[in-house]
Amino acid sequence: MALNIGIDLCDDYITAYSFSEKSMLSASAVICRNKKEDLWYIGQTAYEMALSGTGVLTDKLLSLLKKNGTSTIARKAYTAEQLISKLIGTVLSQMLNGAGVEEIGRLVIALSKAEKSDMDAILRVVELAGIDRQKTTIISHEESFIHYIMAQDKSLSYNMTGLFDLSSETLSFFKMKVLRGTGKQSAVCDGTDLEEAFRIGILKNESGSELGDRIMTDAAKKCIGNDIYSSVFITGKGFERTDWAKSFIAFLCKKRKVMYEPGIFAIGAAIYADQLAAGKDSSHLLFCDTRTKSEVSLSVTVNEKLSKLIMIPQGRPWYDLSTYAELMPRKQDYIDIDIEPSDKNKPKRTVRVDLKELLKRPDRCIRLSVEMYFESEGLLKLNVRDQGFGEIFTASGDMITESIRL
Amino acid sequence: MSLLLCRQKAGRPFCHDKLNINIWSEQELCYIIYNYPLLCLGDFCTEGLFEWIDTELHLKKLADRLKDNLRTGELFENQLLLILQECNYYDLDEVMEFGKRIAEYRKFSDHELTYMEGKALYKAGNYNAAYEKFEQAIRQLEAEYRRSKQNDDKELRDHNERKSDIYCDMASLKMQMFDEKSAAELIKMSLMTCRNKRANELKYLIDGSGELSDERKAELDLKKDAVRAAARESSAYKEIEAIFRKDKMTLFKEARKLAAGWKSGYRKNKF
Repeated sequence: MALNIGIDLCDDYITAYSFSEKSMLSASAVICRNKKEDLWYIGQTAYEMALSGTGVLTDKLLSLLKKNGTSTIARKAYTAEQLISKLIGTVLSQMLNGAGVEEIGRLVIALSKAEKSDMDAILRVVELAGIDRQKTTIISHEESFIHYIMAQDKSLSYNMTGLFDLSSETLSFFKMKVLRGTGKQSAVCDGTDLEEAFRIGILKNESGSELGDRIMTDAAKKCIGNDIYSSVFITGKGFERTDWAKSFIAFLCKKRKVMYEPGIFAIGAAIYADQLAAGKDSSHLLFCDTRTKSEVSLSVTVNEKLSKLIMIPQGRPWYDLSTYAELMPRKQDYIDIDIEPSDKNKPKRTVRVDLKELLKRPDRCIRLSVEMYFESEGLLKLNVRDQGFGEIFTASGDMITESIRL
Repeated sequence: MSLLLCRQKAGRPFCHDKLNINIWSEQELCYIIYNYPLLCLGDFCTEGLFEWIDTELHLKKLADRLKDNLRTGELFENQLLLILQECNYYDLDEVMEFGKRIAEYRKFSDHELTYMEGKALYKAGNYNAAYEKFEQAIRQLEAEYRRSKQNDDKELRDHNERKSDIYCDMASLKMQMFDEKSAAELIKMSLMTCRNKRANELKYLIDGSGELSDERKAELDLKKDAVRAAARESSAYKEIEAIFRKDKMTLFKEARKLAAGWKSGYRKNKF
């Protein structure tokens, strides 16, 4: 039997959740190595080891990863990837031991933002931790929130659904809406880091609590305003106690359901892990920072009829999405890329790619390969390559490359 | 103006024997049929081709129709037309033009068709196969003359002129294969068959002799110089110049490759 696990990984904390076991493990995202032996500890135990002087602690591991940094422990330099792999490995083995299972089925890791470089790095980390890369999916907090809400009662998402995430140093607001109509329904989520973020350490005293409450209330008024929300969730270390946020909670509770859900992103990731393990397709199209928000297509001729060839469909994970087609221009020296945003308020547009550089042969004697993939969120890379024409005309190796901002 | 969506290429190619080329897609098949129709008549439209169209190009309907037509003895030209129509590589006007072109072939005699086949092979760079076709065309021409009932002076003159022209084409072929001696002999045979202006011009270009006016010789000299000058500017010449600028090892390696390419044109069939 295999265990499907969702992980939420940030600079401050790591939370793992298994939907089948209903078990959650949450710890500070710090790692400590014993000075003398090759023993590693995470979370509270890591702090204790460091305080007692028996271990060396490293924190802010994701920030270290972004900087390609290293940490020297017991005269050995460890890369951020190595340290994070130990962190994740420790968490996963604790989850597996708790469930009495030896194998991981699917692993979904949620990061706060969908940066391609971070996603690449975390997949390398997962491999270092001895986990099959094919069984691992990286999503963002936005996508994780969507998966969480779609698994809840529909009454919570009749109108918009909000989420405030207050962690040690960041405050984020997520706004989600389920669009119901004819055809496949869609769920849209937008997350924003709020400028009003504050250190939750101030909540330890009365004046700090009052200030924190005022900040949160103002933030809620700004984010929610007069919009209609069916429910608002709160999560993060800052909401472990809510006695300091009386005005804020009172504002939220007006005509809305308000719920506190610790580890919401880990739960959402675990829900998605179960879905992937079951081979189920989502019942909705998802639009968020890890999913394609526009449909990209080409007009092609098939059996003398004009057809639309969808190269990039909407709502698909863009990270490892790449598409390929082979085309033959007939008295045409360009390719028109049609872009249709999922947001109907945004206009459709067409990007024309000039092929004159490639078309140095008689008409219809060149087979072009068109490859599309994402360099990062919203940035599509297009490669058009001369494939020659069988053994009649050999491929020149010429290529045209374009980057298109969707 | 459009972009044709190409199907996946065949996993296994179909070999065109006369051109000795592998065909990997329906577009390549159509291109070869359209540009080399004479090399696609007869033993090209076989059960093997139709089977390949079915299993590799996944055009089962087309393949079934072609097989049915083969059983009922349909003309090869119509089979080729059917392939062009169904594959949509050429538009309707082009297919109709092709249909008229190949219908015209019915008006030609055996030796004319063989000669045209030879020209097509020459155009494709298959010099050895082209030379064999020209030889066959001469044999067919002589057989046609023997079978002919008229045998008057005009017919004999036409027959000799035709034969002389074919010898000139064979001489040009031999020049392409760097065989000046054979070329000279063929020109001699052409001139022995009848007075031929083209043969005299070829003779002049090869060895400086030939029954031509001074004016014509001067024109040919100018033409020769212009062709040489153009050849010096061509990419093929520059490729050879570039090879000679390289180090000895690379020079020998690339020269060998280039020479092999030239030789393959007349040592075996090549596209």
